[in-house]
Amino acid sequence: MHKKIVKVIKGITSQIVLSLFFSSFCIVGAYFLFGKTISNAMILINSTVVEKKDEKKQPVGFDSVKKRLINYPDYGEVWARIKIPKLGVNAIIYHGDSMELLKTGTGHYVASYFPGEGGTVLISAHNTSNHFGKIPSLVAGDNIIIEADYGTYTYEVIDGKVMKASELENINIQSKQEELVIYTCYPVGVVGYKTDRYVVRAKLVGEKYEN
Amino acid sequence: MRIKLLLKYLLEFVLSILIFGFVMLLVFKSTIFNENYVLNKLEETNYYELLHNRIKENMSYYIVQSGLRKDVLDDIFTKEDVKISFNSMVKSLYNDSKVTIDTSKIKEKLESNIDNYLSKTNIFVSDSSSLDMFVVEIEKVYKENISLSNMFNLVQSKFYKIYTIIDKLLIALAITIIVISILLLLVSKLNWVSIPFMTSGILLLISNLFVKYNVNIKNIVFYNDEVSELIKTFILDVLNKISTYGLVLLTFGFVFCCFRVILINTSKK
Repeated sequence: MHKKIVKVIKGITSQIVLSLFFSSFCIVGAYFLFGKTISNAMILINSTVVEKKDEKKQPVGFDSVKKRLINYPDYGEVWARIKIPKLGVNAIIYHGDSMELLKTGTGHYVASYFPGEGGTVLISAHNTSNHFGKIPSLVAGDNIIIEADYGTYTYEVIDGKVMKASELENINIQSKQEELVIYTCYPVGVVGYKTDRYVVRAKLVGEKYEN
Repeated sequence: MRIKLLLKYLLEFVLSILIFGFVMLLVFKSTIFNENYVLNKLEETNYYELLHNRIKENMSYYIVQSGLRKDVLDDIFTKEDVKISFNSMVKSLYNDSKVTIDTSKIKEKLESNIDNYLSKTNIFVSDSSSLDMFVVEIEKVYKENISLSNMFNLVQSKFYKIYTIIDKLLIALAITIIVISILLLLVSKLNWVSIPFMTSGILLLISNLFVKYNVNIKNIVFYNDEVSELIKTFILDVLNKISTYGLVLLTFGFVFCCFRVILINTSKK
């Protein structure tokens, strides 16, 4: 009886071992035959994975020597306020200018520079009265102030003009001198979809860093 | 005798791979390559409602710059319209048909709402083309959201190709499995299922663990929140089915193995 039990256990074990051997053989075979394809597929799938960061986000700062931001804001994050004293505008600036963000504030074009970095800072908003609806009345010499988390930047209007929306891509982001470009849909106060934009250019006249 | 044993192992090994492949295809055939499954999942995950809300939200972004009021968008489409439009896109994947999203009803209702608004508020429109453009943009928002920015058209032909190949592959695999099983039955009599079943079961369970270990499924983000949720549901469903089939095969294989070993040892004198 005891011998029979041992034989049964031996028989079952041998079959399990053989199955595990076959499985291992398959896995090793798959690794050598399709390893690269499987690895590429995993990379592709994982490229759609967005890890939620647990650590507390560091505040946006500014390196005044390198003229570069430290800890750039995330997309959709508010990093500054734009103030136009002449028009009574005082609005938040999001990093990003999607239609969703523009619903509640002004939007900073992500591929443009941040104030202080020396390039073109591009900001858009809807043409409502609390945002950029009145910017066609700005004239040369008027001030626009950006109060960022890392400093305050004052710009002076150079000029304003109407452009086609499709021409906005011609705005030079890599300008030699720092410029602020703000724009909105035009004409203002007319119903319907607008394909024109009113664009105001301003030059940097004052900057104050905050530690 | 040794050749017979080698042949038996070889056939068992090949059968294991074939069963593994067959089950994998079966899982895909019963999930993402099954039109009814996908339509049911859309209903279960409340996708139409979420898509309806998203379209409305996306349309509202155009209201501010248009100078119109939000209520011009009221009732221009319903959840049922979204369901019909989206289902037609899903169905086009399975029959390789060209589908155009009909927005004529939306256009008609929106124009009527705008006319009502303008007449109520006495707003004079000097250039009606800007209003026409607004209507076109709103139609575009609907089309883009339904077609997931034309993603359906991009994947349609490849999807349909795989969809039609799967059936043929399943039949071919089933025939091969039967043929090899008969051969194994001739070589090893009762003991033809246990090792292939256990091996394919183990392989299925390992595949499931491999994907779960290597892909952070719960953090997948694709296109938007609703589509991401849907994709996660599909992936988890596929993995659950794979692990269920794996467990079933492993259990069956083990039971057959025990049954066979016990039978041999008790019948021996």
